[in-house]
Amino acid sequence: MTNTDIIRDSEVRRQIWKGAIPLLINISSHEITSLQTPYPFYVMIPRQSYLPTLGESVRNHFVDYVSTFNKSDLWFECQGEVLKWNLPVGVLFDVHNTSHNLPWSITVHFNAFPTDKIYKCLSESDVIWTYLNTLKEAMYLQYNNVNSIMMLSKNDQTKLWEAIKDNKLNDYDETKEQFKADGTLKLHPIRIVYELNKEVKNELVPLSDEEVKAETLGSFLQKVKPNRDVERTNVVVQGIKPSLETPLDWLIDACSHPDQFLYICLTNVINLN
Amino acid sequence: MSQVWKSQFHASLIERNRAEANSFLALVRSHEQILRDCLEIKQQNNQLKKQNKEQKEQLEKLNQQIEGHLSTGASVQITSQRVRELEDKIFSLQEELTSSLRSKADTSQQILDLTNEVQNLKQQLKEKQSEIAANTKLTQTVEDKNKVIQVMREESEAIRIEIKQANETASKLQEENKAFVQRIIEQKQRQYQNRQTLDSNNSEFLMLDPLDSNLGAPTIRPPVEIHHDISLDTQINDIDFSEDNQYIALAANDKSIKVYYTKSGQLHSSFFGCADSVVCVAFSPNNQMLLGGSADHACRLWSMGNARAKHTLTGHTKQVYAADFAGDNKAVTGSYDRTIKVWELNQGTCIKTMLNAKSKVHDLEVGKNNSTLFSAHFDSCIRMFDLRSYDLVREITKAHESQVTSINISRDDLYLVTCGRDSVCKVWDARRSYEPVHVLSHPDYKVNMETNKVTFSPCGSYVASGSVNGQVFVWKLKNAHDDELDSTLKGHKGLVTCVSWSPDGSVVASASVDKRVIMYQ
Repeated sequence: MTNTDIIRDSEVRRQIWKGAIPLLINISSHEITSLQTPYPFYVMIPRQSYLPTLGESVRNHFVDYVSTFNKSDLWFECQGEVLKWNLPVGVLFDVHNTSHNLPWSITVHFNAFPTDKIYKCLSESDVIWTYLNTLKEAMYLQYNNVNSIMMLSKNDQTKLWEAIKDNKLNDYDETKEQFKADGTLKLHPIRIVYELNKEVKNELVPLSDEEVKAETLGSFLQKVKPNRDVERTNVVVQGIKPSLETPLDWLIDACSHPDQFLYICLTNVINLN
Repeated sequence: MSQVWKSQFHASLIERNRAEANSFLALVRSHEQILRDCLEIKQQNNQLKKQNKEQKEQLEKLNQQIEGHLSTGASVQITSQRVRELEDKIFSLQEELTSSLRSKADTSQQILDLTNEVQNLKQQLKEKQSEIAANTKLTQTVEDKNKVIQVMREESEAIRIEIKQANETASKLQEENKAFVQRIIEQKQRQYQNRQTLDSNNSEFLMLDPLDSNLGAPTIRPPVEIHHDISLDTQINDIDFSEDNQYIALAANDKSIKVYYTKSGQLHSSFFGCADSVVCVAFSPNNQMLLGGSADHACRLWSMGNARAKHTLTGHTKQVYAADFAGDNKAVTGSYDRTIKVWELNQGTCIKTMLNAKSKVHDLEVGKNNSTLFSAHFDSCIRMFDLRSYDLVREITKAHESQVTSINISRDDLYLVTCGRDSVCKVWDARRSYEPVHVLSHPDYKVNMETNKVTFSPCGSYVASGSVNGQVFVWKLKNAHDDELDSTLKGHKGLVTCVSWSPDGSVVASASVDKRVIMYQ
C-alpha cells in the first residue's frame, strides 16, 4: 500500500465542497414584454448552495424585459417541472438533469407562481430560516434535542449562512464547532430523492446508529427500496455514482450536506413499489 | 487492504469537478465580464447621448439670444420713453404698498387686542362654568340632604306618636295614682280608726306585710322552677345559649361578656375588650367562637378556646344592637346607624354594607339555612333579606303599632315571633302569607324597652317574653289563632331585659335590671 492510496476524508470533503454547477438561465419567451430579447444568464453556483441566493442577480439581469414585476413571484423551472428551492442545488441538479447536460439550462418565471407546489421565498431571510429549520430537524433526529442551535447567536447564524452561500468550507467547519451537540446519536438523517410521474419525491428514511454501522449503500437500498430496477436505476450521491460497497456510515460522515442530511438520489426510476 | 470504493469515490469526485466546475468556470467568468462591460458601455453611451442633447439645446438657446439682440438694437429709443413711464408707475405703486403696509400693521394691532379680549372672556367663561358645576353639585347634595331629612321627619313623626301615647298612659297612670292615693288615704283612715278601736280595746297591734313574698315555683310542664339564680354586680343586656347547651353567654353592662356553665351555674370565663357596654351576644354554630356587639360602635369576635379576641369588626357609626352568625365563617351585624353589615370572619373584613335596612336595627336573626336574614326595625317594620344577593326580599310594614323590639325564628324556619313596644307579641307565617298567625298580649304584659326580647321554645309551641313587672310570660301556641297564656315565671324584682330558651328546651334564662340572671327549669 503506497502513501497515495490513503485518501484522507478531509480531502474528500474538500473535493465535495469544490463542486459547482454552470447554470444557463433563460426567461420564458411569453413573459418578455420588450422588443429586445435578453441575453441568457450564465452563472456558476456551488453544489451546497440554494437557488434563491441567485434571486437578486437574476432579477437585475431580466428587470428591463418583463412588465409585471413582483419580487416574491420569482421561481425556477426545469423542463416543465417546478424546482423546489428548499433542496440544495446539487440535489436538484442530480435528480432533474438526468441526461447530465452542461451547462444546466433552467427557466426563470416572474408570473403565475405555483403556490400549490412550493412556498414563496420573499427574501433571503426566508431561505436562511428554511435552512436553519432543516438543520433543526436533522439535529432533532440525531440527538432528540435542538438546544445547541437555539443557543446559536445571530452573528454565528449569519456566518454559517455566508459560508454556505460563498462556499467557504473553513468558515462552515468553524461555526459547526459552536453547535456540536453532546450525547449519543439516536437516528441518522437520510433522505431519498427521486422523480416519479413528473414529481420529485423527497422521502425521509432515518436509520439508527447500529443499523448504519452494519449497512453498505447497496444493502441499505435493498432494504428500503427492494422493488427498484437495479439494472436501470442509478444511485447518485453528491453528483457521482458511488460503489454500492461503500459503507453507509462513511457516506453519512463524508457526503452530508450542510443541513446535516445525506441526500441519496435515484434517477431513471420507473417503479419503486 | 486498500479501500477501493474510497479511491473510486475520490476519483469520480475529481472527475465531476473537472467536468462540471472547472471547464465552465472560465467561460462563465468571461461571460459575466463581457456582460458587465456591455452594461458599462451602454451606460456610457447613454450619458454621451444625454450630454450631446444638452449641448445641442444650449446651442439653440444661444442662437435665439443672438437673434434677439440683433432685433432690439433699433427700438432702444422707444423703450427709454416707456422705461420712464414704467419707473413712475413703479414709484406710485411703491407708495401705495407702504401705505397699505401701514394700515395692515394697524389692523394686526387691533387683531392682537381683540384676541387678548377673547382670551379674557374665555377665562371668565371657564370660571362661570366651574361655578355652575359647583352649583349643580350643591343642588345634588341639597337633594340628598332633603331625602335624609324626609327619613328623619318620618322617624320623628313616629317618636312624636310614641310620646303622645306615653303621655296618654302617663295621664292614665296619674289618674290611677290619684285613685290609689285616695284609696290609701281611705285605708290609712280606716287603719287609724281600727288602731283607735284596737287601742281602745287594748289589744295587739298588727303590721301587714304589703309585699306578697310567695315565690312558690309554678307547676307547669315546660319551664317551671328556678334552677339557678345568679346575682351579678352589673346589668345583663342579652343572653345566648351555646348550641350544645353547655354554656350560657351574658352580655354585661360592665363592658364584658360572661360565660357560665348551664348545668352548675358556675362562671366559666369572662371576655374583655369592649370599650362600652356589650349590647348583644351570639355563639357560633360550632360553639368555637363568640360574637359580641357593643355600644362602642364595634363588634368583636372571641375564640372560646383561649378567651382571646380574634377580630374587631369596625365600621358601624352607631351602637351595634344585634349580631348573629351566618354559618361559621360569616357574621351579620345590625346597628343604630341604619345599616346591616356582613363580615367575613377569617380575615375579619366587611364583605357588604347593606344600606337597604333603611331604619335603625333593633334585632336581627339569620335563618337556619344561613341564607335568609330577618331584622326588626325602629320604624315598626320587619325586613327579610337574601344573604346571597343582599337584596331586600320582603318588607312587612306596620308590623306593630310601634317599634319592633325583637325578632326570633322557629327552628324549622317556618314562623317568626316579634315583640313590639305596643306590648304585643306576634307570631308570623314566614313562608307563605306573611300574616300574623298569633297575636299574644296580656293586661300585665308591658314592654317598656326598645330591645325587649322574645323567644320561641325549640319545639316552636311556646313563646316566652319578659315584662316590665319582672315576670316572664309563657304562651302556648295551639292551632292558628288559638293560643293561651301557659304560665308566668316570677322571680325578678325589676324590668326583664332579655329571655332566652336553651336549644334542648330544658332551660329558660332571663335577665333583669335587678342585676340577676335566673335560669328556670
